Amino acid sequence: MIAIIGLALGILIGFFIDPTVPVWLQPFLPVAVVAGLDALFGAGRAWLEGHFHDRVFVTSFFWNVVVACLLVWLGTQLGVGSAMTTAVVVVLGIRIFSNTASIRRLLLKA
Amino acid sequence: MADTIDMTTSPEEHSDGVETHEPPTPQAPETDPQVPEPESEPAPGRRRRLWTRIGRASVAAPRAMHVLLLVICLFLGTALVTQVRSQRHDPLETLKQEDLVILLGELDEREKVLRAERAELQTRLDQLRRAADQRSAADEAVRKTTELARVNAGTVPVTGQGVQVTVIDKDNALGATQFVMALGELRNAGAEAVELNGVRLTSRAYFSSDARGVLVNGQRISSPYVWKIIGPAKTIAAALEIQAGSAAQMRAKGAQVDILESERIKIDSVATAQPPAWAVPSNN
Repeated sequence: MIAIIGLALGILIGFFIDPTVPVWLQPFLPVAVVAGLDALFGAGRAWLEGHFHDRVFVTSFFWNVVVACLLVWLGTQLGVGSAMTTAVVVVLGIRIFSNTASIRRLLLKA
Repeated sequence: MADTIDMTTSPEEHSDGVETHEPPTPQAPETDPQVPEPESEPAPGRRRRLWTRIGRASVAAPRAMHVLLLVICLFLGTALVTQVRSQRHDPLETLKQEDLVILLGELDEREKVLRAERAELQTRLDQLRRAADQRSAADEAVRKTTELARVNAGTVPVTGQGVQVTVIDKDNALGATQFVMALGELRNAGAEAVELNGVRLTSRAYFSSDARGVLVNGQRISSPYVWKIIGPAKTIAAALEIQAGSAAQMRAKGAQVDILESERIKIDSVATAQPPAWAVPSNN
């Protein structure tokens, strides 16, 4: 509940404040957002399965974001920035898919 | 985060880092093992338990962790919307340098093509404009010439400054000679259109006379004779009044001649144009 409220609030804040993205953050922000979404769906799945720990969620969230951004940064240093971004997004996308599939099973029993 | 990335629900560490020690059954773990639920039952009780869980979670006593959760979700939502909006606002902002270079090259190429096309179209437009100008100039010239020819041939009603001459011949003494002379003088004085008693006189006009009077173009006319002349009024009036001119000759024959200059003479009668039977335009 808190999480949903926070998400809605954040979206509203983003809409009304319209913060400008600093240049150094530009390649990382989309990846970070996808990583955060992945953590969120994982948390939802864990909650539905009945073993959700908020500490685990928080650490996994930051871990996901940091690792994703690190990978992208490494990719840019190695000159394969766009490819690395693509790879990270693909992997996170697969995980989001599997998590949502589990959530679907838990909710709809199908 | 050693994840086996596959779409199956094999036991794995989920993204939230929680080890699952249960078989990947497609059903949630029973929190209450005393109440087993058959698989086939379309889980209303299950659903209810989910709702109660949600209710309980929503009224749970707030802990410090909740604040952190709130902040995290706030951050995530803000980041999401920001990214989406910046992407919408300027898709180029998020592109890589190489992509931008490629895009720039493409755009340059397209600009070249478009510029060439524009130049070509401009040239064509200029050509067409010139052609149209020539065309309209030619049309104008033709129109003017036609008008002139019509006036000269007497096929259109005309108006303008001129002279009205009234000749009263009580004794019926005037003959064709006087009329021919008068017409000749008018022409020499620059008359552009002449009408006599409602008959338009052109270059083809002819006079004849017999004992009973005068005929113009074969039509009998009688006194009073009214000439309407369009042209330079002063010149024509002076030419008619010249010594031993046609007015003097008519007066000598006993006729009364009144010459009246006017700013606006209107000639409504028209002559029927006769196409030339022998003369054809030569091209040189």
